Amino acid sequence: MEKDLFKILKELKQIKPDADYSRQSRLFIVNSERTGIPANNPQSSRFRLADVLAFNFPRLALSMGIFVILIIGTVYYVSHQLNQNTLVVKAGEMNDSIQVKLNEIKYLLENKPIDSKNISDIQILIGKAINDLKEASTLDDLDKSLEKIKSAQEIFSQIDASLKISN
Amino acid sequence: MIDGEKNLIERAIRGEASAFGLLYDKYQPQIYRFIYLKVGHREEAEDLTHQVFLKTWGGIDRYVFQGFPFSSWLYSVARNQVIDYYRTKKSNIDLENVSEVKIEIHSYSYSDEMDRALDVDKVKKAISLLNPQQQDVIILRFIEDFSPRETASILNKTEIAVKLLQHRAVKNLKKILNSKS
Repeated sequence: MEKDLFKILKELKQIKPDADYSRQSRLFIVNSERTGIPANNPQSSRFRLADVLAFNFPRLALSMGIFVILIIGTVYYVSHQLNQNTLVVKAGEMNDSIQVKLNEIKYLLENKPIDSKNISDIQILIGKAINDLKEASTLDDLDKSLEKIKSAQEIFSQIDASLKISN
Repeated sequence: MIDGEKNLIERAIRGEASAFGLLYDKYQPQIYRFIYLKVGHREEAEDLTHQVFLKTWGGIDRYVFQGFPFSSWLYSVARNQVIDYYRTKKSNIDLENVSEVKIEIHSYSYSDEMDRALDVDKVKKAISLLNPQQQDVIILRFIEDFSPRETASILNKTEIAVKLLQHRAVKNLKKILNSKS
């Protein structure tokens, strides 16, 4: 056994990750928004942004809220969904759709004039979407989690539509 | 670092996800292997590997080339990820997993003839009983075939320190295997 040790160690190089897992993981990462999270301090940005969300300037808070949602979504998928391949595909598709809507909303918020009434309505809707995503991250039943994510997705579509109309 | 890789890293830093995807393809199997041999559990290794690449993608704009290969950074993030994993899972590991590993190795000692597959399994378990630094050097030097110099740069140590660590690691590995056979 001892003289074979180095040969056996070489054999361990045959250990490879599961191909399906690798494909899903890669797809998720390359489709994910670059969050600018430091490699050795993954939580810090999340909490800073959460503080900013409570800030009194509505437009800034809304923009920051979008980022918070992106980060909450990312953390949720990573920690709860990774091993559920089928659900990851569904969640990934919803995530892609949410990302597109969020980018549109962020663009409209930053570049178009919006009255204070609209900002207030959008804040309420974003609050609901955040709650849905938070609840999704705590539910054990994955189907119910997906329902919550879907609900958040619909809210973002509603916000996007209302911003486009108001402009 | 080869020019092609440097170019990929620069493109990834500029936000090109497809470039990071190619870096993922190149390094993911070895980072997965590194983590798997340390945690000894396939699904946990998958989760941790995913986290490593998610974090490096999120923080790649902070990557500065300092003469070390890109893989050094990935291994560094992977090592921290495994440390965090053991920190949060410590109580479970102490009470369950380690005793399970020891029981399994102990049961092998009663077998007179072990086939190759069992030997491989035995070595895997023996690696898991080494301390983290010794695990690092065994994996990098003898499984991944990195030179002492490359291993030193990955582990942020001198070549001499790596050779000493390697000597102790091999000695301990043999000791564990002999004590169980």
